[in-house]
Amino acid sequence: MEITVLFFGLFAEAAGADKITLKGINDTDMLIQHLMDSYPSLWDKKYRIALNTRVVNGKTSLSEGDVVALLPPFAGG
Amino acid sequence: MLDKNELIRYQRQMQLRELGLGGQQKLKQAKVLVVGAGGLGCSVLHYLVASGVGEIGIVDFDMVSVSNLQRQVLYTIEDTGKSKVECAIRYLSKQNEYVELKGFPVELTNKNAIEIFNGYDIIVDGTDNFETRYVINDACVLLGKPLVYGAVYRFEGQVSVFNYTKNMLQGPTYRCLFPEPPTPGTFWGCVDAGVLGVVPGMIGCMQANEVFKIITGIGEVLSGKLVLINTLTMRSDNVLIDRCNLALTAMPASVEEFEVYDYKLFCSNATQTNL
Repeated sequence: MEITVLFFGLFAEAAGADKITLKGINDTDMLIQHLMDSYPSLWDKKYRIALNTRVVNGKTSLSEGDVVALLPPFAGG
Repeated sequence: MLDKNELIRYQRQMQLRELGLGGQQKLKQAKVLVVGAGGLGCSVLHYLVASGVGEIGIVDFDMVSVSNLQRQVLYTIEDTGKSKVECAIRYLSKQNEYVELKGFPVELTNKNAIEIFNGYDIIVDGTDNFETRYVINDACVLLGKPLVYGAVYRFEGQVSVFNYTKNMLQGPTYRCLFPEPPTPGTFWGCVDAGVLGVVPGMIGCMQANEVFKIITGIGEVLSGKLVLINTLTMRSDNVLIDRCNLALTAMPASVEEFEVYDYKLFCSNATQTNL
């Protein structure tokens, strides 16, 4: 099972890409754990998760082809 | 109510059949408050004033500094050290003498937000910090006013319209998207992270565009959606946001509660919990 992850702001910088694909990720908790292990600088960062372009709350299961976006708040003006 | 010179001035936009004379009159009757006269604010203000929005308020306590000039396009080198509100009004009143401009050279807080917001129909967030963004959101929710949100980070920007009611349906608020601010020290603003001038310029134009749609009723207001733009790749993404009652119960329930709420503490005590 493959999913696509979209990154913005600090997340894109930490990952060195604005988009990656991952295999074997069953839900959003597992995804976050994987990302925090891969990019430790993200552990204290705030974000919201959008699944297939809709913001979701809490642990959400993922299916083949899902697109998950991690949205950090921006402060600048 | 529009005089002969105004009819000539606004002719190019009035000839858009979606706008017309009726739309122009709506613009003239509208009262819009722009909080923050920095990169976003300068861009929003430029177009709101040029298009003939009747009354515009500007809130900013800051002075113009040389490092602002690369993106805050209403100011010149002669303005450095002077009040942004004062300089913006001087420039904008020359740009369009038909617009009534009012300056609030103060820091927007929960102590003065209600009084200032009461005089306006639409609030535009062009601030550069989370504390003020939550103050603005909560005041808009309590007063039932639409909030046109914009924020930038390096080469990226976000835009949305919060707390917008259509057909009795209330759209989501800033808290529905971001219930809690980031922990202090875990994020950067323009000062630390840097920003290219066109980024707040573009995002500010998109905010002005939402203001026009709210006032005139044309098109589709960006409520319930967050637009994210990366100017380096020109990738843009739209994300749907739902109104979240749980997030809303965390905010002050009344103006009285709002005015004693400790926003500094709220922003400095933010935890690392994510939804």
